[in-house]
Amino acid sequence: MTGYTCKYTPIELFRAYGGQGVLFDEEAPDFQLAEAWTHANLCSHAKALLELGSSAEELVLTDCCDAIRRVHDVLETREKQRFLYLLDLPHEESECARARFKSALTAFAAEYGAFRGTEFSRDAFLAACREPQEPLPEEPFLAVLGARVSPPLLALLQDQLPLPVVNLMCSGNRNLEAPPPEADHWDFDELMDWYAGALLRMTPCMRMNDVTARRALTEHPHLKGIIYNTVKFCDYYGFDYAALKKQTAVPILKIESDYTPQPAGQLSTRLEAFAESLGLEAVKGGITVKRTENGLFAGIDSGSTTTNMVVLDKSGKMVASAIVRTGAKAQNGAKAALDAVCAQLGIEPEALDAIIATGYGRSNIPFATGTMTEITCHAKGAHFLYPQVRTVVDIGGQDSKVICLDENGAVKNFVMNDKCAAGTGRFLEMMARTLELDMDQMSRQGLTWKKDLTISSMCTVFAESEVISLIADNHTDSDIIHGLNKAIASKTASMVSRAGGAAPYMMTGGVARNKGVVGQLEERLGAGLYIAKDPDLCGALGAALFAVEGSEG
Amino acid sequence: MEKYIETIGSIIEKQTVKNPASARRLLMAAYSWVRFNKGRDKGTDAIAARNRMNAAVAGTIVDSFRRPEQAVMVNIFMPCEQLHAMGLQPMFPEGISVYLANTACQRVFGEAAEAADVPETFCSYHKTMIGAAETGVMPKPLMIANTTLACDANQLSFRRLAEFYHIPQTVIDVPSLVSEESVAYVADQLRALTGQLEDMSGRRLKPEALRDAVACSRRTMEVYQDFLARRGEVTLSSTLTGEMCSLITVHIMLGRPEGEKYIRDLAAAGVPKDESKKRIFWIHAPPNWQDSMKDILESGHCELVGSDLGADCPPLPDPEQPYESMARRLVYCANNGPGQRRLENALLRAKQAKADGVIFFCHWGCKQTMGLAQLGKQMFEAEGLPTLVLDGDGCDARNVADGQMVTRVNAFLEQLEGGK
Repeated sequence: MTGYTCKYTPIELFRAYGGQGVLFDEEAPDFQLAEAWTHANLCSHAKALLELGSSAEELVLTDCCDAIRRVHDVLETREKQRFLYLLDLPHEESECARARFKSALTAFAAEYGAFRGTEFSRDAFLAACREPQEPLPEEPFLAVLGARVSPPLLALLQDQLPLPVVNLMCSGNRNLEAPPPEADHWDFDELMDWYAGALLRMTPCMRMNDVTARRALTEHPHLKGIIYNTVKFCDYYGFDYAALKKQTAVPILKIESDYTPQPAGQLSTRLEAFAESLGLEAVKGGITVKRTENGLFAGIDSGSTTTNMVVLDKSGKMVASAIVRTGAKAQNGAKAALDAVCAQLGIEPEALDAIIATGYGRSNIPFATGTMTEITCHAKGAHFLYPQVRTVVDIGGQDSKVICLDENGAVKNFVMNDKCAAGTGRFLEMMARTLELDMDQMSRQGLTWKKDLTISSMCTVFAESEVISLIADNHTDSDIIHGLNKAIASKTASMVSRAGGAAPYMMTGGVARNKGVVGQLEERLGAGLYIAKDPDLCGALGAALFAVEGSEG
Repeated sequence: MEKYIETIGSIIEKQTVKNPASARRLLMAAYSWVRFNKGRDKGTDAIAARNRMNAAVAGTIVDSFRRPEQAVMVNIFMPCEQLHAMGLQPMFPEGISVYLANTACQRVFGEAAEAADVPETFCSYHKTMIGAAETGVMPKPLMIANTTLACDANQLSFRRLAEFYHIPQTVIDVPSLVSEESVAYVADQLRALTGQLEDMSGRRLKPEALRDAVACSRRTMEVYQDFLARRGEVTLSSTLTGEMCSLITVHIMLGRPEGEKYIRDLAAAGVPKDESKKRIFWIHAPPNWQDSMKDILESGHCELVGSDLGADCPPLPDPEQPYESMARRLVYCANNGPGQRRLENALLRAKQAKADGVIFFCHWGCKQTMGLAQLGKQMFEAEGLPTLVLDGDGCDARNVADGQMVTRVNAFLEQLEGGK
């Protein structure tokens, strides 16, 4: 078995010498070794390759990117492989480039054949080149594009999405053309000449000079949506995503992975919300509504900091609401919220006709009669409160998100922060702790600044260290808080821009109570933010509205 | 950073959002002042030489902004003798990013790029230049010519900018295999570039002008190689900006008389080695915008004796073979091919400069450098050169933990002091 990572690897040549290529795409539990040998900010796939692939006996790499070149440098010094090769890959498919690549393939073949102790088999080579490729489905499907995803993540996508999911990622779309019939009579030199051209004519990856042929990936008539993956610290596909979203009308969900086991929660929210926005059935178990005479419908939003609950009557009027701390377990917070609204109404929980759960803890609420993502619920609640709204900015405890709506309140697009806490409520909480203030004091004091300080660091950890330095330099709390508010506003405005957000804007989530952040964000957006009386309740309100609609359906 | 620069930077940032043309005019005014003011320095020491070179580089930026239709956007590794011989200005946005950082207005461009989906983890030099272009501050040049050397960022940024400006782009594909076959492959591409430059600019490249430019490059590099070989015997009043000037001189400005004069002045400016100073060799480009690093590395206790990007000396060019000479500079560049080549060159230069220690600077987003950090540390320390791996950013303060950097560098200098 010869390991490889790049689709331009000549795996058909492996077969010609009796070898077999194995695509290396595994996740690593951590990057302890890889980061000790290189650096934490190297491409996550490259680090996984170092972590797990460093003990592989045979490994053929291409000089496809900076990170893989460095992987080769490290492996070469460690001398663990019996066969380790770095193939020089051109960036284009001109005649000169093809001649150069042919020369590189010929040199590789000589070394690989010598290592295996076998002769080149034309029949085995041509058979490998002629292996049939799986056609795209003749029914609606979704595609994963962009940078590679690990097999477990691909399986998760295939499991959670309601349509077939096709792998068109950089390592997945290896569409080598079949050799012509006359190739059966070609000598090695002629075969390598054809093979170099055929490899370079495959759908290009982003490291090639001319990437226009990549757009064919998104033009299939049955393609209904794209999951676009980028790998942490691999920059190639962020650029492709930016170009693609301007060029295609196919809905796109962008995700980022890092070749470690993914926490399912946030990803599930995105996948479900994406399916909901495509009008596909992705709600696990649907919405169950009891037909009682009470006409009471509840939504519960289980967030990382608070659990919020709203009860509506049949007309959509709010009759009860509660905001409680979530605590360590989502179900405990949910139970407390349920008890609170029942106490307000003087009813038992069974008197509620339906309870739709949303938020990151939605799947762990035993009394919920249905679930819906917070993306869809926030959009629903926002449209109900402020029908003109086109962009919702929601900054909660661990998530910040921007949701773009159409005139009917349907989700057009959304973006969420990734694993980083910068720009979330947690960021403000950490900074409040550093300043020894509570959140109300943070909100008030941020308005009385005198000096326009800037917090340079985007990273929460760096920012905390910067705040400590500013405290040591005797800057006032108000000025420091103002700097923090600007940092959050900058991060959020950038998300609005990436989502394609437009006015009128609305802000929801607990951070909407912070007047300093709101003011800075309004300045960046150049427009006002509509803030409802209880901005924390928007998601729960949307969930409750879905419960009401469920009773009508 | 001086207060008046922060004030100008703040105005430029605000104008970038409201009126990019006005922001561009302010930048041109600021860099015209640098050209005028620094260019008048008649001194004979390294700081005066740096001031004059800084003026020349700032002037090149001004000229490329003033007449962008006669400017070709290039990356830092692109040989520019063809442009110099044709009277075309190089517009080198990686360098412009450094100048923007030193004008206290980089942040607005980094944020603009990220808002337009440029990954946060991308090289800050390239992120800044994309922001400068897409905000409308950096004008549309005649065309783009860039190499695939030395990093992936070139493949992404310059393609995006060519699409943004709707202008032609020529990419010089540099094979990682260091061989004469690769030189011939690159030389053919450079010849083809001449045709494209002629078609686009309407000017003709006179062979004798190209020969003169390459001859200037050769003279410059002869002096520079000799200077590097003697660097260990002398002390210079070196600065982080001076090191940036050297880096730009032996790349973009190679083949121009200002570059040759700078190197000659630098070579003549050395005084007998000051044994009391700790001599630091730098990997990658130094963050010359960062006050804290300047305070330490430009203090009387410390001397920056070189950087690997500024001390790369491929074979001397031959004016009779200009294309092969430029191609050889790319193919034999220490940054091409296996990382071991870069480390070996750095080690050679650090030893020539009699460095006491090495700072391996992991510039934000530079996977080429970060991926080599630990290998480099092992190699240098095995050769008796203590090495600090230092995370930072060459132009974007948002990715910098300043206090932590200061602690690390000071502790490293204490470590070197203890080792003496």
